[in-house]
Amino acid sequence: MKKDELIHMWQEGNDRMFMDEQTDKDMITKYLSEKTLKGNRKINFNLVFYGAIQLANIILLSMNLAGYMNNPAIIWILIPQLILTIGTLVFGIDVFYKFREINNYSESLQKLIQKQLWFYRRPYELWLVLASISAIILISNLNLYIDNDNGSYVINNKAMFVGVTLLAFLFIYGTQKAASLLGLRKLKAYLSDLQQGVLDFSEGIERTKKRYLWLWVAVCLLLTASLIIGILTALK
Amino acid sequence: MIKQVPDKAYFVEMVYSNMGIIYKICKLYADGEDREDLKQEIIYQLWKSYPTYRGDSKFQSWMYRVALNTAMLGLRARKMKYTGLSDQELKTSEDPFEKQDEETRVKLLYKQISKLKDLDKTIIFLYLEQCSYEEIAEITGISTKNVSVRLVRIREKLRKNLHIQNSKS
Repeated sequence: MKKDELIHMWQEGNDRMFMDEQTDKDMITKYLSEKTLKGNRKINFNLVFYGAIQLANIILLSMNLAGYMNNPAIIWILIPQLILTIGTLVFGIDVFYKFREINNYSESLQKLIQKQLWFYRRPYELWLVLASISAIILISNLNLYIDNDNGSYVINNKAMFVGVTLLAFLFIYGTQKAASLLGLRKLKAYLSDLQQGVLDFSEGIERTKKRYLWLWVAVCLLLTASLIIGILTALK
Repeated sequence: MIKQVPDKAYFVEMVYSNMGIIYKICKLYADGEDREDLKQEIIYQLWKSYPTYRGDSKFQSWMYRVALNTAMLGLRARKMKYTGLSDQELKTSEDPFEKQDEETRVKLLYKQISKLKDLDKTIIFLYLEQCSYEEIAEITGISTKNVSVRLVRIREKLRKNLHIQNSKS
C-alpha cells in the first residue's frame, strides 16, 4: 500500500458515501438556536436546582430569624447560615457563568481540557461542598421552623442528630461527586494521552492535585463537623 | 467597544459548503440517533464560537477545531458510547479488500479508525483531510514532532489492520 493510499481511499469513498446526505440552509439556520439542542437544559440543572434551594433557605432563615427573635443562641447560628447561603448563591451564579465560558470550543483541545479540568477541580468542587451544606441547612431550618416551641428548640438525641446530619452531607456530596467523576476521568485520560511524552512533569502535577483534593475534602468534613458541634453547644 | 454582530447568512453559507466535515466527524464519533444530535450540536457550537473566529485562519481549520472539540467534549460526548459502524452499515462482499468498491473500503477504514483512541482518531482524521502537521498541532495543542511520531504509529496500525481484515474477508 502506498503512503497516500489511505488519503485517496478516504477522499474517494467519502464523496460517494455522503452523496445522499442532505442538510439544507434552512435546517442549518434552525440548528443555530439553543432551544433545538437536546439535553442542553439538563446540563445546568444542578446549578439551578441548588440555586432554588438557596433561595428557599434565605426565606426559611428569615422566617426562623423572626421566629427565634428572643433566642440569642439560635440567632447567632442563623446569621452565619444566612451569610453562607447568600455567599453560596452568588458563588453559584459565578460558577454558572464560568461553566458557560469553559465550553468555548474554539481553543486547542489541550487548552480546553485543561480549562475544563480546572473548572471541575476548583470552582465546581468548592460549589459541590457548599451546595451539599446548603441542603443540610434547608433540612435543619425546616426542622427549626416546624419544631419552633415559642422561640426555643430542643434536640432530643444529640449523637443521633450529629450522625444523621454528617451522613446526609456525605450522601448528598457523594452522589454529586460520583456523577461528575465519570466525565472527569474521561478528561484526565484525554489530557494524559495528549501530554504523553510531551510534559514529563504532568504526572507530578496530577499527584499534587490529588493530594490537595483529599486535603480539601478533609478540611470540609472537619468544618462541617465543627459547625454541627457548634450548633449543639449553642443549643445546650 | 462595539461588539461585532456575526453575519448569519455568511456563516450559514460557509457551514453549508463545508457540511462534509461535519458528516465525517459525526460518522467517526457517533452512531444511530446520536449522530443526528451531534450534527446539531456541532452546528450550534460553531455558531456560538463564531464571534471568536478572527478570519486570520482558514474557515475550515477553525471549523475542524470546534467540531472535533464538540465531538470529544460536548454534551453528547458525555453520554455517548460509540460502538463503531453497525453491521448493517458495514455490509461488504466476499471480494478481497483491494477489489471492494470505494464506498466499502472507506467504510472499513472508518471501522478501523473508530477502534482507535479518541485523540488518535482526531489526528488521523485531520491527516486524512490533508491538514498540515502544523494545523494538526494547533488544533490538538500538541507539538508537530509529537504529531508526526503519532501519525507514523497510527498509519502503520491502520495499514496492518486493513491488511488483516483483507486476508480474513
